[in-house]
Amino acid sequence: MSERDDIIHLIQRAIDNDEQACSTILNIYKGRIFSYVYRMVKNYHDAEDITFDAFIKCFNALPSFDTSKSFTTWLFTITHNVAMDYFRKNKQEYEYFDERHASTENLAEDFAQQRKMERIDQAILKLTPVDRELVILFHKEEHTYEEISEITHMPVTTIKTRLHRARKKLRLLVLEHAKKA
Amino acid sequence: MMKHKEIERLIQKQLDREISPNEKRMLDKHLAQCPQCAQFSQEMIETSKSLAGLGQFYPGANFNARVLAELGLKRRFVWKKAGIAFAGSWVAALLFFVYSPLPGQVLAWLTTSFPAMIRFFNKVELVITSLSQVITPLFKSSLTTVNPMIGLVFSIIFVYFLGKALQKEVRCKA
Repeated sequence: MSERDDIIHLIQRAIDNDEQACSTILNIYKGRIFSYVYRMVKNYHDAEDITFDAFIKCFNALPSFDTSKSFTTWLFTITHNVAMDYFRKNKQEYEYFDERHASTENLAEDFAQQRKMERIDQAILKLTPVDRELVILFHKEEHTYEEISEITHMPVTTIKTRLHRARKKLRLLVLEHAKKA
Repeated sequence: MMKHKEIERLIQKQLDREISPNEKRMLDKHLAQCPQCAQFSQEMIETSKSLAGLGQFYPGANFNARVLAELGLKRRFVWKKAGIAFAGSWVAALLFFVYSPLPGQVLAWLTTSFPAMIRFFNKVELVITSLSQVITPLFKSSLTTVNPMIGLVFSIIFVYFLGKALQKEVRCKA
């Protein structure tokens, strides 16, 4: 049985309210989804709330999932939409496209587990939320431009332009960080 | 010689996994001659590689439980399934004890090795004798009085270990 068949089998069991199948789906995807959200919103508790809502929406919408499509892309699309709702609701504090949120704040203190962040992680957090999202989806999650377009509802050309700019900025941030170190 | 701007476009295309073999040849040729572009390319590639190797974060330890609770998934015992499994295993155990010489040998060894067990079986035998006369007229000629009890014990153990399989998750509508 292929990996895709395994996922489809799990989905069918989850639709039948199989607790074990739901747990397995959570175990497979929660790390990827949480990391993606955490890097977008830069706050552990908010990231957990968004991840939670995304999975609830995902499980409730499972019967409508088209099994001929990619489950991962579908799950990331739901998560992106939940995150966008979060950005809209918290407009005072967060703005998805706002360049001012490409700040220099130190997030290590905010992170509950006080994990030592890598240099590249520090650099990513200095990008705007939208650029962070694109960088993670393309380089970390290895989605194609078409899939990212489906997830973020952005045109492929916009994604490419933003990603090219973000990569150049990241290179400079990493070099800058290395010099300081 | 190609312009740096054009080279940067090719480097980005390479990172986008969209560079053609011809463009790759042109890029490599230029990078071999231009240390400035070669360094830029190297740094861009290293940055992209670092992104791919980013670590993963996880939500809190009780995350799964919270999601499942919110979905209202609870385990319920399926009595029909459990009843069939119990009855089936009881009959199977009875047949095994009746027709297999092994249980008799084991029982004989146990009762002779542990005198307390003989006294226990003697007491239980009284109860089982009357029960087996009433419940199992079909088997009474071939059954010993101890067999139904052992079958019962095995059935309970069997159903206990099958406990998880005999449950199903039902979504409770609040």
